[in-house]
Amino acid sequence: MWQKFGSFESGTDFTAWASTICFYEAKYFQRTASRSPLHFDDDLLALLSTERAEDLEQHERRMEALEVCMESLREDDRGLLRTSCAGHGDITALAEKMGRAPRTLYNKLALLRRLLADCVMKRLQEESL
Amino acid sequence: MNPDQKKRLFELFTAHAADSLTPEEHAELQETLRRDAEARRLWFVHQDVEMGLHAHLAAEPVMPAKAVVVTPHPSVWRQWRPLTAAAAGLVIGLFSASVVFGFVVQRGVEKRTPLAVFAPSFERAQMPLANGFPSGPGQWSGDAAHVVAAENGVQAKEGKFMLRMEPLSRGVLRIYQVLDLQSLPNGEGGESREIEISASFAAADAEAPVRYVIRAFGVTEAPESLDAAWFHRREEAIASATRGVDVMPGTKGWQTVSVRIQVPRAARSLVLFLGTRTPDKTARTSPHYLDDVRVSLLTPPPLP
Repeated sequence: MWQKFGSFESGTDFTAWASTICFYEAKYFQRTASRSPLHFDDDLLALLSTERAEDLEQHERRMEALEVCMESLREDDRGLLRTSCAGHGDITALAEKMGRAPRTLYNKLALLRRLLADCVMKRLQEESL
Repeated sequence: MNPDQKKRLFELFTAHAADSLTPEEHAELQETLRRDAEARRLWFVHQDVEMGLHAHLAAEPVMPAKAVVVTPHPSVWRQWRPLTAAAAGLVIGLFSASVVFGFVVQRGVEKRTPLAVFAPSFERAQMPLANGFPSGPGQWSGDAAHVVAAENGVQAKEGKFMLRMEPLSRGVLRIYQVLDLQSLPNGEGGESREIEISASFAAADAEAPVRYVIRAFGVTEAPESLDAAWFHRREEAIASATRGVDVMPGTKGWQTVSVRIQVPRAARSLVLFLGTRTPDKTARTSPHYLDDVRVSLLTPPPLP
């Protein structure tokens, strides 16, 4: 956290700032320490956490933009994402349950994530104009 | 980054989210993130989209069937497993409350029990409004706002007064209130209770597009324990729900927004965010109004 002390603005709430940084640090750690035996190496984690600290101010706006973007999803696509979330991301098991090829489902979910990310970025860009 | 590279990147992100990266794909993702700043920016967007998807979709029914109970499942944060006890300690401290419950409640003729909201119609003309996040229940706080009578062609929706939310150059206005859930009747039902929040918004300038938003958070901490530090950790809430309504230019009158949230019984507080967002910078000079805030406990009809 102290590596990012430079991003703390004097006069603002230090506790809140520190909580936010720790919160995301912990999330990254936990995420990369999940079921997969594959972890990002320390250099990349350090790079990501440094840039994430600067990126955090976008988080709230992205969340709000996402809510709007999700409304534009077709109901079956939204249902697929919902089912995927409920299945904790196990796409192979989900594909079996749905009688579809795992690769097809991966591609579809990747496409939906990309479309949502594009929509979120587009909305934020429009807001900043 | 060309479209094919971007497509590939999101395939890797998706596989990463599903913990199914092969060692080769993992190396490819690492290398791409290491050398490409644009890829890292997309990674952060992807992380936020993932978080938002779980927050929004976890509370929705998985199947449209009625009267089906979906087993409560942890949010994505809860699924991440720490490697070491030290990390577990940190993570448990930060994430123990991050469980989003999703239930399907049979809809029918529900019983609505109004919950006490402080000054729901802003009829206290001299009501002080604290800046920032509230320091406890029984108050409104947030950005600059004042209780006013009819003005700018807008009349209060309920009673004589309403809250004028002053325009800000950043285009986002927010008002907060914390409700104490500890005195809610136990009643029937399972692990959670359904609460509906509604509020009405109006614009002084009906020609500008605006988005009105209600966000609600179910929180395990008692109301008096919540402070500005919690605000920055709000995504840890054990339940959350958001509803936004885009109002097109030319739409006049009060716009009522409502949202329902499944609040686990462990929640001791309900935090409300009521806000407006004006995307058009040139329209960020006129106020918006808020009135008639209602919060109700919904009790499903008894099973036949």
